[in-house]
Amino acid sequence: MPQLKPKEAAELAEEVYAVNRGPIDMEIFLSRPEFSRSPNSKHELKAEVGSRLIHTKDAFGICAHGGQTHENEIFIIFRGSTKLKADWMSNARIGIQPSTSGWPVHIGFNSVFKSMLPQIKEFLRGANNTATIHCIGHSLGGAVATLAADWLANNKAHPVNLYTFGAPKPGLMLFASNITKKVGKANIFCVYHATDPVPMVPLFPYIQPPLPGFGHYLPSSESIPSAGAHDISKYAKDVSNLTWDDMLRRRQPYSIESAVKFWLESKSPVHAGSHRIWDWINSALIFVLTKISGALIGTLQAGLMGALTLADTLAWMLSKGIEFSEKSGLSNIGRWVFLLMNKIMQVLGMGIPDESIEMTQVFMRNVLNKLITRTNEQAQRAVSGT
Amino acid sequence: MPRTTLLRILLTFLALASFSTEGTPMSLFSQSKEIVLASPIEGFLTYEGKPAADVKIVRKLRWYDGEESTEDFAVTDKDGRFNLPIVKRVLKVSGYVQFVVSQEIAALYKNEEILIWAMGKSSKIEYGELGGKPVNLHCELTSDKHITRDYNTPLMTRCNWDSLEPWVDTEYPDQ
Repeated sequence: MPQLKPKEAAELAEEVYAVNRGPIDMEIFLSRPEFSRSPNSKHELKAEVGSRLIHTKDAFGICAHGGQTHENEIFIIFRGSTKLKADWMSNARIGIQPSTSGWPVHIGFNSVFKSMLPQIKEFLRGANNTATIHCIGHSLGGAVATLAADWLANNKAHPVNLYTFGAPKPGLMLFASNITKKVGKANIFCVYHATDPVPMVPLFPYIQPPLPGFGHYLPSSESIPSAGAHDISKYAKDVSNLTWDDMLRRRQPYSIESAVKFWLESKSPVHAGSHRIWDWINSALIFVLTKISGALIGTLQAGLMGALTLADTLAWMLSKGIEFSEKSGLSNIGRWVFLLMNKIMQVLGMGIPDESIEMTQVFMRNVLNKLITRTNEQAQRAVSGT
Repeated sequence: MPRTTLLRILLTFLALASFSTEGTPMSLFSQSKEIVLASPIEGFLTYEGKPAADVKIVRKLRWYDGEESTEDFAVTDKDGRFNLPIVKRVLKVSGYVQFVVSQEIAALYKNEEILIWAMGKSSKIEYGELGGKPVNLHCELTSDKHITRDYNTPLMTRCNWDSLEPWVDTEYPDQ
């Protein structure tokens, strides 16, 4: 299956931002080598031939057939709005709903994708089933491209490639693992800078595809998240001389259980400003919750109430873990919960809790609420450069 | 029970929990910044090599997905010379949102609108379009439109210039 080089994919994700509604914008965009019709092709390629601009309230998309160097290939490139009012981030768009393929995804991204789907379907009507489809996007565009790739892999016969740059996490684990199976890990290229805060949100249990897998990674010399690291021009510059293999993320320490345990038990102070702290907290949360669900699978199934918030549910599970530890006297789950909360409280600047502090469900829920709020705020503040 | 299955079940619970709306809205932390929507542009307009005098040149600028726009114009003198000043605005921008301003400059020659410049400017500073002030800019109305990707963002133009004056990229100093 033909695949785009990092430089091509990044340039397409970048150039789509210059396209608004004008025919001139489309003409300039379609003058790119990927769409050239003949070796002497002039730039007067008509926008309507083999291409379509999809414009919705919150996002733009360009669908275009490849030219001579990309015959039998289709490009669907998404970008977010360049306005400041982003409906996908509003209060009404928080939470999860089923994707078109039935797996849990972020409501905001899902509604953007669904508003574009009719026009994508129409563009693909009559397209050759063997044509490879390249789904590309930066930031919000990347999240929508992911949902598009998911829809294509579940509804169409076309082979699909997905290329995203600095995309936020589109959905939960079941979505991530499913799209990885359907599209294929080798055909998913999720690129992110180490210090780009956008791919870090929303926090766990949102998870980036590919899963299992670690994405395509660009290291950073700084350790603090920053807005500059999210800019598509920076992505394009940084990948221009790299191959996908160059970026394949090596297994990170926080994905190894023994390293997580070590981190939880370590007494050294936590660096709240470091971009890696969220990865550690995510991993530690997964580690502790897995231990609890292992011991308590029956209890969990019985006790879950659908109307609870995320912080409520996490606190409830953690407190069940403590309860189990105390009652049975057999397990050290309670200790792991304490160590986890210890780290979280340090990150939040709440100081190191005394061993005697009672980790009640209410207390833990309040701490977790703070954690969820703080991560989002910090990411956004970093991204806006304030 | 294998660990991955446990994890899967666990996350299903969390998924169900997350169906409720909660948490902080991801608001856009925006800040006000002075943006150069268009740098000053001065040059000569010609038709078949001869000065195109008394020709109106219109510059249209659109940003925020076209929701905001502005327009100005100049008229060429007897030597075909034109001069459009800098356009600056204080605008709200956010790191989450890519800023782009569409620039289109066209000459109204004998009732025909002839495009001489089109570019999506992503740089926020003066002379960020080309990375410097063009020297001896001249635009021939009968020439073909030319698309170049040699600059920050693609440019479609009927103009040429001899060189660019030295310029410092204060926006991205380490790139």
